[in-house]
Amino acid sequence: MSDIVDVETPPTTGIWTTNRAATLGAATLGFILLLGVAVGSLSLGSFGLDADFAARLAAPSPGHWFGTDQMGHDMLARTVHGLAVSLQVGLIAATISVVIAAALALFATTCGRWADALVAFLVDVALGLPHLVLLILISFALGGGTTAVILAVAVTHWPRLTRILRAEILQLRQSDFVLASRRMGKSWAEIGIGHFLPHLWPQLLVGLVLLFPHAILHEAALTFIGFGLEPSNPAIGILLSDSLRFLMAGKWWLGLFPGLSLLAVVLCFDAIGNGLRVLADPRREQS
Amino acid sequence: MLEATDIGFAYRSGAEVVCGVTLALGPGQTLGIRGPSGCGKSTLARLLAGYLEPQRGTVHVDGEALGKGWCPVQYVHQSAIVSVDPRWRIGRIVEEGWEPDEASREALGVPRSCYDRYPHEVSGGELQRICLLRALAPETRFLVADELTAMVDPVTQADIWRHLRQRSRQGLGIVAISHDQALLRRVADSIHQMDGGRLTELEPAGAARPAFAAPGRDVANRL
Repeated sequence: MSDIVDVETPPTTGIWTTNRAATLGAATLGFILLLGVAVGSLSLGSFGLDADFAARLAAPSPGHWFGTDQMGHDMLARTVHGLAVSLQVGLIAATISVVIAAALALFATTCGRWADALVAFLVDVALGLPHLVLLILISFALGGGTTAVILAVAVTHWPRLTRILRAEILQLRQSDFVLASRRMGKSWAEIGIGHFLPHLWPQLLVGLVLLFPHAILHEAALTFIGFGLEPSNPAIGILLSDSLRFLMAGKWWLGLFPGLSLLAVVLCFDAIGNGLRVLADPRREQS
Repeated sequence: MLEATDIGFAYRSGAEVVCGVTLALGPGQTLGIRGPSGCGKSTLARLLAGYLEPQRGTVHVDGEALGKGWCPVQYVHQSAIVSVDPRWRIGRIVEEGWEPDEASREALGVPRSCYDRYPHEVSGGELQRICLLRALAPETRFLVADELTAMVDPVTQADIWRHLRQRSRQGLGIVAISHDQALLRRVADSIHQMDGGRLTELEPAGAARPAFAAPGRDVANRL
C-alpha cells in the first residue's frame, strides 16, 4: 500500500508568511508598547505627580512634550502613569471576567439542564440591564476607588463570553471526534483538557484581549463621570475629565494626548488579539 | 457476539430512520449492509457503535450493554475529517487510544513521518486509513466500517481489505456498509439489504444473483 505522501515545508513567501509577519509584528509592537508603559510608569516614580506652578498650562514644547496641566504637572508623565493604572485595572478586571465566563460555561454544559437554565437566565438578566448603569451602581455601592472599579467592570463583562463558550462546548460535546474519544475510553476530564481546551483557547484569549480595552474604556468612562478612581490618581479618565474645563480656553493638549494614548493602547490590544488568534489556528497557512 | 435486538431510532423530527433492526454478528464474521442513500445505514452504524442510543431495543456485546472504557465496537466514519480533532496532529490522533505497532502502521500505510501533520494536510483517503488504524486496537472486537474504502483507489482498497480479512481471521467481526455491491460480495460472509430503515433481505455468501434477474423490490425496479 502506498504510504501517506510526505509534503515539503511550505515556501517562505506568499499570503501565509506575509500575514504571519504582519500579525506577529503588530502583536510584538503591542507588547513592547504596553511593557514600555508599565516600565515607564515605575521608573518615573513621583515625576509628573508633583506640582510646578511656574509651568502651569504650558503648551507642548521640547521640555514638556505633552505640555503641562493647570497644576504644572508634566502631561507626558501623567499620561504614562494614567495608562499604567488603566492597564492594571483592565488586566485584572478582564481576567476575572474570563474566569467567571469559563467557569459558568463549564457549569452550564456539564451539570445538567437545571444548571444550563440557571446560567442562561443569569446571562439574559445581565445582558438585559443597561451596561453603564450597572457599572455605576456597583462602583457606587462599593464606595468607588480602584478595587470598586475593577470589581464593577469584572462582574458586568462575563455574559457575552459565557454565551460564546457555552455554545462552543455544546457543539464540541456532540462532535464525532469527541464521541470517538468517549468510545476509546476517555473520561470527560481527559476530553475537557485534550479536546475542549485547545478549541476554547482561542476564544478565551481573544475574549480576554477584547475585554481588556473594553475594561479600560469603562474605567475611563466611570472615572470621567466621577464614579471611578480617586481624583488624586492620574488615570486617563481623570485626565480627560479635567481637560474638559480647559478645552474652551484652547488648552487642547490636555485632552488630545491622553485620549490618543488610550486609543493607541486599545489598538495594541486589538493587534495582539488578532495575532494570537492567527497563531492558535492550525489552518492559518490556508487563511 | 454483537447483537442488536429490535432497535429503532428517530431524529428529533420525523419518522424512525432505523425501524426494528435485529442482527447478530459473531467473531470473525463479516456482515455487509447495502442500500440507497438515506435508508438509515449510517444511523444504524452509529447505533451499533454506541454513538447514538437506540430509542427502543438493545445493542449488546456478549449479552452486556456497551459501557465505559474502550468500546469493543469501534466505528470508522464515512467522512473521516469529522471524526478527528482538527487541532490535533496525526500522531496524537493515531495514538489517542493505543500505540500501533510498526506492522499495523505499515499494513495501512501510515508512516511515522506523517505524524507531525494536521488532518487538513492529508487527503480524505489517507485520513480514512489513519482513522482505521486508530480503531484497530487489540481490544477492538467488532469494527463498523461505513463506506470505508469509498475514497481510496482500487489498489489501496484491496490492501485495506486484505488487512481486514487478516484481522477477521484473528477474530475481528466486521460490519461493512457500502454502496459497492461487488465489494460487499467479495468481502462479506452475508449481505443485508437496507431499505426505509429496515433490513429487508439476507443474502448469504456466494449467493450472488444478478440484480435485474428477478427485481422483486422497488429499489431493484428503479435501478
